[in-house]
Amino acid sequence: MSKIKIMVDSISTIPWETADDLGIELVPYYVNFEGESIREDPSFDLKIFYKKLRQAKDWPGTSHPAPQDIEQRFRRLSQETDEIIYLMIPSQLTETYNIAHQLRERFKGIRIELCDIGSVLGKLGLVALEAQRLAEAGKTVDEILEHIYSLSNKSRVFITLETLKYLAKTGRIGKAAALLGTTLSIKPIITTQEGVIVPAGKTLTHNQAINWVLKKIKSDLNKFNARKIKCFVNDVDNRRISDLVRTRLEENFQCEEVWQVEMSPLIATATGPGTWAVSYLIVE
Amino acid sequence: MTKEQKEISPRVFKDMVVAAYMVLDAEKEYINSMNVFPVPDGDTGTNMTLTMKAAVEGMNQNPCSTISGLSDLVADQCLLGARGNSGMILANFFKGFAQSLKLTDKLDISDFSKSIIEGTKSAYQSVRNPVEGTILTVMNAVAKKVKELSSKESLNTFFKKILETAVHAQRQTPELLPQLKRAGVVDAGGQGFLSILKAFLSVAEGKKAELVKKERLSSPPVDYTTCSNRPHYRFSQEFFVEGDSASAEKISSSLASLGDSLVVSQIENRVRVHIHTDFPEKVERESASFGRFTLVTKDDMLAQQKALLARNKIGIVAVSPGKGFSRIFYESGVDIVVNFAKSKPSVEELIEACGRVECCAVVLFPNDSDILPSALQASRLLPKEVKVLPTKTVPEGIASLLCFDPQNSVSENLKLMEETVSQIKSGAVARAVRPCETPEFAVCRRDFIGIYDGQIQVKAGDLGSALLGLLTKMIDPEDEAVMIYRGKGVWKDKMAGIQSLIGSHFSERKVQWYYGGQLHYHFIVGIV
Repeated sequence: MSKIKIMVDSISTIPWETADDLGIELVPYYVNFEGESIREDPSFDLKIFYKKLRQAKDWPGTSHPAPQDIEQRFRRLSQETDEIIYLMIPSQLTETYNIAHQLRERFKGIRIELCDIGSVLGKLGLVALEAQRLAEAGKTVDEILEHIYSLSNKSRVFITLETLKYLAKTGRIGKAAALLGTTLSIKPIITTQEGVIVPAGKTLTHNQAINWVLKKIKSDLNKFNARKIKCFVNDVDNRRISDLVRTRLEENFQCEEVWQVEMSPLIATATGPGTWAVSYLIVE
Repeated sequence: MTKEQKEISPRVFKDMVVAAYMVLDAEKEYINSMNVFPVPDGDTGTNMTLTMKAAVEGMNQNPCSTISGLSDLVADQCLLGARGNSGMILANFFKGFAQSLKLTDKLDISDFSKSIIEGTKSAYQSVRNPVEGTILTVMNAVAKKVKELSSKESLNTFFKKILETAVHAQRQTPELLPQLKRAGVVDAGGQGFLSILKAFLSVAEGKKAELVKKERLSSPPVDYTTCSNRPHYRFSQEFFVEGDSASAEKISSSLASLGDSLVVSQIENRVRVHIHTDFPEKVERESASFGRFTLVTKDDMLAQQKALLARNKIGIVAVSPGKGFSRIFYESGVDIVVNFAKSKPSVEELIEACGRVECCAVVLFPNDSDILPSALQASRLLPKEVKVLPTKTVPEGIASLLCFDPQNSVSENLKLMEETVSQIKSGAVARAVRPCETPEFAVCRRDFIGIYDGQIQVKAGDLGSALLGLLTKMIDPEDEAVMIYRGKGVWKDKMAGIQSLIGSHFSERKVQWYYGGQLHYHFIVGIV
């Protein structure tokens, strides 16, 4: 029997080279900048992008994968396998689910599971990596799906923003809109809940935000009576903070894996410079 | 049962019903907590569980080994035991479900599909004004899906696909029903229906009812504040009307003008009614004209809702020395702000403010070292639980308010906020009203002075220099946020000069300027 293939959206921030090594198929998104639609791929230069972003007069837009991006991948993978699990961005946030849903009808005889765990960034990344690990270990599609859905309680993503301005522009601010329009300049912390963006906390400083996240991890570890985590640290042109966050995580917890990765251009555009995020998965 | 099997045996059907009850029972608190529509009375999960429980008890008491017999029994028992809106709708779903199985005595995928379609029809018919974004929407999505599904599917795949569809429809409920969206939840009744489908799938996958995985889900954060203060109708009434002239249709139209959420269904000469109304006696009189009236339940939803809202909320009262601060406090979720200008609020005023908050627990922020003793005194005199967060300055109050999390308990919040208070540095600039001596220098009357850590640390001839001196003393390299609140006495035209002075000295920092509106201090400074 051929091995199950895992596909995941690039907003999982799994690095391209890691995906290549592990055999995970990344699906790229697009940033529409200065009249150009730029595809996220290994050649995408984040440094230049961030620089442009900071100077941008017209804030860029974003768009979901083109149908052919997904179709090509389904086609390529279907040569190697007859079972694909595609982990994707929440259906509330883009059209990707609908596109993939229509496309999979064309692949008769291939089982393509569309899996929306209702979250983004490292939370999606960590779950995709787990899925890949299980596929490597020879588990069935059903076993993998059951396992990854069971992880949704044990994994979280918290995104700390400099401002909600950019997220408001995307129209996907969800319930975090409650934090808009206050006199005080605060650093909002947001998270995803069943695919919708919701406010999680607010602080005056990054330092307070880091402490806030550490407390959440601690309380989750207690809740599951666990000791270890796997985590992602993402940032939008804010390496200083992401280094600090990583250090604090490693000082405070037993981290089985730490992925320190720059934010995907899509999320960078949606959240703005200075944003950083921590995603973690509680390991038994 | 094996995965390849395509027909459901009576034994498996029974297992499915039992599993549905068990999963609902396990998830009922979770479902209760997201109940905001039509009335946030927090009982949808319990109601649906009790409805299914009636079916399970019925099956235990009446041995029955045919599909049509079992489904009839489930429908009748559900109708008899139905509670609440969603319970009644669910019972009517099973009624339609059972009717569709009357002629056939087997249950394969195509029969099951037909039953779901009939069940959904019956559920819609039982409600006088069907509302989308509820359990009905989820049922309808499933009913549409089964039409597409081939009867050649395995049971396992069949249930997996309908569950997938239902999950998707359930996620859409906030888009269809604004009340849900505002509160940030999906529909509670729809969630209950998902629990049932989940149970069906587990049984189809071959699990025994007793072994179906029951997850205890933690409650979702629900913003009950978005719910209106008062339910549209006060009472929820459920009753039977029994008699030869009792007809669901007639009773439904005669009660329509007396309330809403009307669900009516008939079993032979008995009609079961659920209604939300302000006139329970009128409803009773009207119904009694069709037959013998037997009350099942009558709940005061206003009282239920009040209790629920109060249970779920911690009130916050904050003392504010100026309009600007008051605005910031209100924006940050304070329920009542006690304003003062010249004279500080009395114990009585604080008691009155805390008393006005309609919550079981209140946290009081004095925000001034002089008001702290009165606040402590007030907290001792109030009958409800009032905790004082010992904030000695307004910046301490603002910073700790930000980390307040209504999902946490009072004690958890206090612990977190006290930690924040200890991190914040507060200072102020004022004008000396009389001469005095510090260990380092003498202060003349009308000198501008900078106070930090309870000590006069800076003096200057002008306001800008005093603020600059104070900030230089206070700011450490690792500090991130510098917030300066302007007092009432500082004119706007003076501000440009002061802001550029401060800006040029701390060019690498983004200093935040706000209007505080306090009387005695020209500036209040908070640094963290």
